Amino acid sequence: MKARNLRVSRQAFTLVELLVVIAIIGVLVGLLLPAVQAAREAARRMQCGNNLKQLGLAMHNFHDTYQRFPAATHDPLFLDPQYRDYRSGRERWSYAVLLLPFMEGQPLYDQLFDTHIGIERPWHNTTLMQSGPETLLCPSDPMATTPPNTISRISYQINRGDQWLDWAWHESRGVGARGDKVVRNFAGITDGTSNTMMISGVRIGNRSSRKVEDGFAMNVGASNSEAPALCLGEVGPNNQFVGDVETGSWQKGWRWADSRTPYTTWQPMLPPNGPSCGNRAESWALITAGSAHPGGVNVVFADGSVHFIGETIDAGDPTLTVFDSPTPPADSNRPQDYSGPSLYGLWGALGSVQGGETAQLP
Amino acid sequence: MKRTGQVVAVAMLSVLGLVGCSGRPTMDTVPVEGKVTLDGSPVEGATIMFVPTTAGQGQSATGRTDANGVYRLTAVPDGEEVAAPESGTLPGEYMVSIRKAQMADYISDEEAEEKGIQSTEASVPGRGPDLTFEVPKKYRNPRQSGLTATVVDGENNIPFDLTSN
Repeated sequence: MKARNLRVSRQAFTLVELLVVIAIIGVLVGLLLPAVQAAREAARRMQCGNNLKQLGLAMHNFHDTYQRFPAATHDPLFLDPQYRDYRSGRERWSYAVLLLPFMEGQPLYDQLFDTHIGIERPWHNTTLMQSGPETLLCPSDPMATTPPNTISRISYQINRGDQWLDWAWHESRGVGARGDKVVRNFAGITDGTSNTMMISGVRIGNRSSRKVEDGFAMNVGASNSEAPALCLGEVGPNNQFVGDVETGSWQKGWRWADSRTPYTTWQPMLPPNGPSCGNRAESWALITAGSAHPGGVNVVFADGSVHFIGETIDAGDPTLTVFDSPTPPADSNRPQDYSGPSLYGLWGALGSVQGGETAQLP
Repeated sequence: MKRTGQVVAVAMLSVLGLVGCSGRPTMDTVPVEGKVTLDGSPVEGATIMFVPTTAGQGQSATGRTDANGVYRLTAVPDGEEVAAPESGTLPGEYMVSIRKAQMADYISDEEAEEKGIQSTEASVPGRGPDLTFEVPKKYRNPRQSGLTATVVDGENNIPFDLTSN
């Protein structure tokens, strides 16, 4: 009798056993899910870095053809005598447009320039503007998908030098310069191509966002060569902006073909994933590199190598301006004449083309 | 059998407990706040900046005044060292700047194109925007403002009474 009872009780699981099994499975799945998500993000991050590599190669191929790098704005190719009118909008074409023929975008480039000369402008919401190349988007960025009927976006911006100046002002200490003032080529990168940042990832903006990552603090700065610390002053608790934020469509990376500051340029002053701010996003803006990857940002250097730079990189004292340097520019109205070493630590040193620093990526 | 279940349960709980155990180092800051007035009335939305008088002794910090003109400092991150928001800065001697400026209304190229007018902003370099300094311009640079502050251990209340002249 006793033996039979035991056998019967052996035929089924007890409730406790069942619960334990379910709990174990739950824990295992719980452990696995983040790993799967992390693997997917790792794949996206790889694609994001690969896009940067493509852009770096395109920059080199452009250099092979024209013996110079594309300008960040006012490129001589767009300023032929016939169209030297600064109101035509052609001076506003971005470096990404110049790179099109070097990354399988020749048909788009031809359409922009053969059939639409002087008509198409980077801010016009046309079919061509809506068909920017996919290579320009970082899949990790939640804002990378362009909504229907809007101008294509861009995640990669060209280094405009470690100074807070307005769009048209930059003669530039970075690789991206104003093309009718400065010709930037390999010979001109005297700090060394492997110590000079060329193109970085920048988070695409979100209209009216108060978050530091995709927002833009308004009514800040707005005069030549301000201290980037002004931007940090806008950040309050929970990494949210406390003052006015940009509510218009002038958001970071919202126009792939436009060379104005928030769209296709960035300044290596505040460390990666820091705040961006300015008078308006289109006017006197300081755009900070950033990414949706945890802890840092991918940057392609002038030698074509892609590096992941952590957000704890030394970025010097953000309260400094070029006028606090031991060798300030002679004319206080021309901060862009500053030619000394960068004031913004290793990050700024890697950003300047001719700063004369001995900085190297660790 | 029961014992096994208990062991598994304990193991599970400890695994769960481990998740989310990561923090960032913070600085040893002391709270700094105060009221900014210009000719007696509080200034809203001004950016205040503290810069160590001697480099390396203290930590640069920024803040922004609220509707009552009160600011609370946050130390600027320094590599791995990050301060909690509005937690103040390190004790020391500081130079201070206070700034609030407005630019004349900005007209973009596209607005100018739509309205058929010339954009007010020249694409030609050499021209800066027209600024109105609501806090006088003399206070904008920490090294030239003449404003100083001493941050000590414990609570700090450092008011600034500015004058237009």
